[in-house]
Amino acid sequence: MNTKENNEAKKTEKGKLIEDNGKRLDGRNLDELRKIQMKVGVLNRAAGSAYVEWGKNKILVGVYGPREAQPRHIQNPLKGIIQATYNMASFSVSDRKRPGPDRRSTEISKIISRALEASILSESFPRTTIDIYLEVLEADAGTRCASLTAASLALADAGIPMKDMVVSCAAGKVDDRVVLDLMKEEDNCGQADLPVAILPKSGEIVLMQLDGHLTGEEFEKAVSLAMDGCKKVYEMQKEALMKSVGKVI
Amino acid sequence: MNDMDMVVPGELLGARREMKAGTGAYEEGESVCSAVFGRKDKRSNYVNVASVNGFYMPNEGDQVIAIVTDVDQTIWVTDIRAPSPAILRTGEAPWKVEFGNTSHFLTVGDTAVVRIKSYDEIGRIQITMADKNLRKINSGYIIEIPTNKIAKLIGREGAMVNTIKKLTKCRIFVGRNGRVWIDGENEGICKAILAIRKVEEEGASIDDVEKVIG
Repeated sequence: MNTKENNEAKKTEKGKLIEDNGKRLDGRNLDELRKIQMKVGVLNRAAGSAYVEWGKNKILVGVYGPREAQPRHIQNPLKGIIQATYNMASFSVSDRKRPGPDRRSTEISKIISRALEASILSESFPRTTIDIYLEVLEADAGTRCASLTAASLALADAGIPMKDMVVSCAAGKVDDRVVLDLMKEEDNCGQADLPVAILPKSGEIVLMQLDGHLTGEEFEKAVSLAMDGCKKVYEMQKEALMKSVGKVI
Repeated sequence: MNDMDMVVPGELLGARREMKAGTGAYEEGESVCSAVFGRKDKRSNYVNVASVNGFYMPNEGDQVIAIVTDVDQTIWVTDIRAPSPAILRTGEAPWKVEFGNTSHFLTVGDTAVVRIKSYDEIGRIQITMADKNLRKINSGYIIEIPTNKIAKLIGREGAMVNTIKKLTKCRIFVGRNGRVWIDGENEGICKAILAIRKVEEEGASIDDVEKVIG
């Protein structure tokens, strides 16, 4: 049975994705995040690194640079370039993923670069590049949010000057209810998915995408829910950084 | 150091009317915020944040150890662990170099103690060897340590590095870019490297260093 059929079966077995008592398939409340674990400084050769487990997602990020941008024609004399490369391992999903870049990973690499550009003080190192490699070891919906959160952690670990951390979290619509942090079954069989990334200090939105349909009221509720989720993730980011130097807030 | 001293990027350090942003901090609107993850330190009316990890940002006047990575007719391109390569022009070398004869003096892989002459707003780094104490390195070992450990390795008024020099009978130069040159007898070099790694990894005190060197 392939994944889609499996999801459909799961949904039909229970009848719906949200139980009558308001609990989701994995027992979470509508406004509850999945279990998240973060660790920084996991790669010795990288300038900065982070590992994030977000539900069943497992993401490893390495940051290299700032270093001279190559080829030289891409150099910007006024600021550094942020180049994120998102890659899903071939074993990250139940059906083997064909290795190498595809349309989806190119898009996610681009949006992650853009979101991080809003935070990094790249004017401090002109003509250079900061390379961020994001490897999805296991995927279970929400990898772009988990990757962006992990990338921000790795950049902080590398000592790259930033205006603020970048945190990301998704909200969506499942069984006509607005929920936080969709898991795989909800993402595949739900009605909408809204990943959001913010700079927590200012609340500035640096990433927002919408897949599906939401009414105006639902959209506002989903954005507010995602932003609340981001704030919770931000606290976990801070705690992970402090733990890396043996200190806990 | 206590937990309250540690800050993450974007964290508020204070009001702009009370303090100015030093290194690792930036000013935005009426507030001063941290730009890096590290320890905040307020001195006079400046607040600095010393990054836990970081890369070398060149400052004019810094003495560093450069490794030649490319040679041209009139310049040497060097790596000083900065974001961009540093350029040494023949006019800044301590020798009279004829056009095209650069590799006779320094070639790829050679190392030298140099000084940062300029670091401009578009990231170009110029270095010089035309001063006393600046020279080509012909012997010894070079090791690298994180730039934020340099102050610890040097110690108060050079106490730590002088202790290592005295006990190992080695000549040691600590570049501001985190490269350390050690020269002497093989046994002394090994002991000096062990002591430096102890300082780097564990923040060892002078007593600990004396024990390591024996």
